[in-house]
Amino acid sequence: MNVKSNDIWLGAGVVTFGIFLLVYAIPVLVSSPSNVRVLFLSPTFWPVIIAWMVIILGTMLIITTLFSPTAEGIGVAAADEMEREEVVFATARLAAAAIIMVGLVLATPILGMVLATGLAFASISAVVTTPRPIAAVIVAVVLPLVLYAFFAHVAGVSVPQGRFMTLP
Amino acid sequence: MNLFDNLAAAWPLVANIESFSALAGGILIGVIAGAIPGMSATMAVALTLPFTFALQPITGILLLLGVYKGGIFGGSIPAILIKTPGTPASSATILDGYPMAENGQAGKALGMALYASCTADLISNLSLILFAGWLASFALSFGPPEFFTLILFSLTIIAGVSGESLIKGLLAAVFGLLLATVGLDLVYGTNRFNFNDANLMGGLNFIAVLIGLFAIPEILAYVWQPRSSDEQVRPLGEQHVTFAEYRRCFKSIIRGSFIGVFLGSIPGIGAAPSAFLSYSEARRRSPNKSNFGKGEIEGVAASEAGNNGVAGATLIPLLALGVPGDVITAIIIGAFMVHGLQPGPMMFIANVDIIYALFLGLIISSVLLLFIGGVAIRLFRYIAEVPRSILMPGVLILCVYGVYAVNNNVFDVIVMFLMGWVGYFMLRNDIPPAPFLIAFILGPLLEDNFRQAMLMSNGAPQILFRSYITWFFWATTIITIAALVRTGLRARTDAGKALQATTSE
Repeated sequence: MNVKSNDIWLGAGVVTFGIFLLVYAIPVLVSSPSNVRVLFLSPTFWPVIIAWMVIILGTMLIITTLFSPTAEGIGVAAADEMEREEVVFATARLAAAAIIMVGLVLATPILGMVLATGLAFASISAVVTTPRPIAAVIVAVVLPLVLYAFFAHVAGVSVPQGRFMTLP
Repeated sequence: MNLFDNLAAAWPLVANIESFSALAGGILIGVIAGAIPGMSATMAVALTLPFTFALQPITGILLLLGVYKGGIFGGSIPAILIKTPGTPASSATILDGYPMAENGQAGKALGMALYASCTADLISNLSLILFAGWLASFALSFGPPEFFTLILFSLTIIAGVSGESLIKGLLAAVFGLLLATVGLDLVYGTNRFNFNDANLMGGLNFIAVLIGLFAIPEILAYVWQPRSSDEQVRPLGEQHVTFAEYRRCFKSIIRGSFIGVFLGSIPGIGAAPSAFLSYSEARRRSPNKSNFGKGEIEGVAASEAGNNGVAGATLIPLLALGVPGDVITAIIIGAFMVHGLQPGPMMFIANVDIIYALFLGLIISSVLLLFIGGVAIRLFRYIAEVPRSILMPGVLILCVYGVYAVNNNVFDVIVMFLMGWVGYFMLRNDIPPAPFLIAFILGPLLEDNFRQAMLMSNGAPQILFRSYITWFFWATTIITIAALVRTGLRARTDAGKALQATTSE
């Protein structure tokens, strides 16, 4: 997909989101008391203004992109410069990063932040196939412990300990 | 109290080992982070912010200011030695710094970069001391309509100059404003986009949003395409900058410093345009103009003076008006808020000792930068060897601890990750994150001042045009939009001509 069609899709998505805000999100998710005297003071006034700005700017993005002098095929996005196989691997790495992030959040109350972040570090290093695996393992152990020591003992933060391990 | 009384009252707050250590440590962290390609001064300040929670307000803010100052200078080291700017502000330094390094004069280029940076930094700090108090006393007469128009102007200019497309910049700002509406309504206390969730009642945590926007996308970009820098580090060489060379470049350094002060005090412009303007002015006026771009030491001096001249001046709108001039000062405003301080004209009355202690700290930081920068130049070879495959996962862990520490709440970590993906989407679509973040910070202020103005006038919008100050900001906002549209149309015409020329060949 080239930059031009990408921006048209982006503009279309923005306009759709603006309409979604006006039609659904603001009426349902923003409560407004019935006794509001002045329109400007209503809790919905500001979100409505923003929604209209979203729609207007999205439309402007589509129009300016349609009339831009960029020819089809020029300004190819960075992703398209990669080989198809590379894109597949890169997408898989991104998906793995997303899974690691979800796993980190879910694992923190169970394993504790030190263990969970150490595992996350090691997993990210594995995903990017680090050329220095030994250094990565050492840092995966030491860095969370150092940060735990600072935040728990200097900053007084209650760092989650988990069910299996209790650090001093 | 006059200026000197205020400085005398503030001196004990700075003249202690904690403040000096914070400044020196901050500069060291900033120089190292700025010197590592892939890190930036912005990321360094964002990641340091959580470490300031445990410190006294003045110590914490001095630490962040040290990181800021060190980061801007640190960016020049890889710009000169490996042709990769550590921060965008150092892009202009490559033009003459790298050719000098290729000629075996890297030590000389780095020395001049350091001296120009320290001189410009000092001038910028003195300008801050002179102008911030004056501007704050003027701003005391501002009411809600004046603040509303001021913030509108600031957002317009930040949205316009942050990216390559005005529309995308404005879109980012509008989405930042939208995100700022999450929570409870400011007047009626009713729910707005909070799904009745207690975690969202107070709005999204600012630190989670900023770290998500500025650090996580860099990690995801690295995960998308892991590659290590294979640039060759140039040796420092035996030649060092002499006093005669410094004196020859002095005019350009002073000019660049004042360009930096002027552009830095306008919200949104930032250090990179200042460095390029300073560089082009130096080239235009120099007797050695033919040597610019081939390794002219005056070019290095001018660009470094231009980008460091901004560093103190960006604090003028922050401290005097409560409006952050760029992303880094937007992060620093977060540090003020964490410690219960609200920058703006009232701070010059309620916390004048802290304001002047910061001024003194900034002056001291210029001197410390001279020494710490000198050491960092010699150690760059080791700094450059930090592998990104270790650095980026490390940044992720730092982000998690830092964001969790704000409220001891894993929910903030979730917000950070979500904002990280939003930031990555913006990165891939050339949508600048700076207007998003600044609009997110200024959004409640903008809405609050608008609604207060409406309350004052019983709903009559004419109040937004009540004084010459509001007229001034309306006029500057319209002029800014007109200038940006004109620049965009001109660029489009040029691109069309270039395209025609390419297709006809």
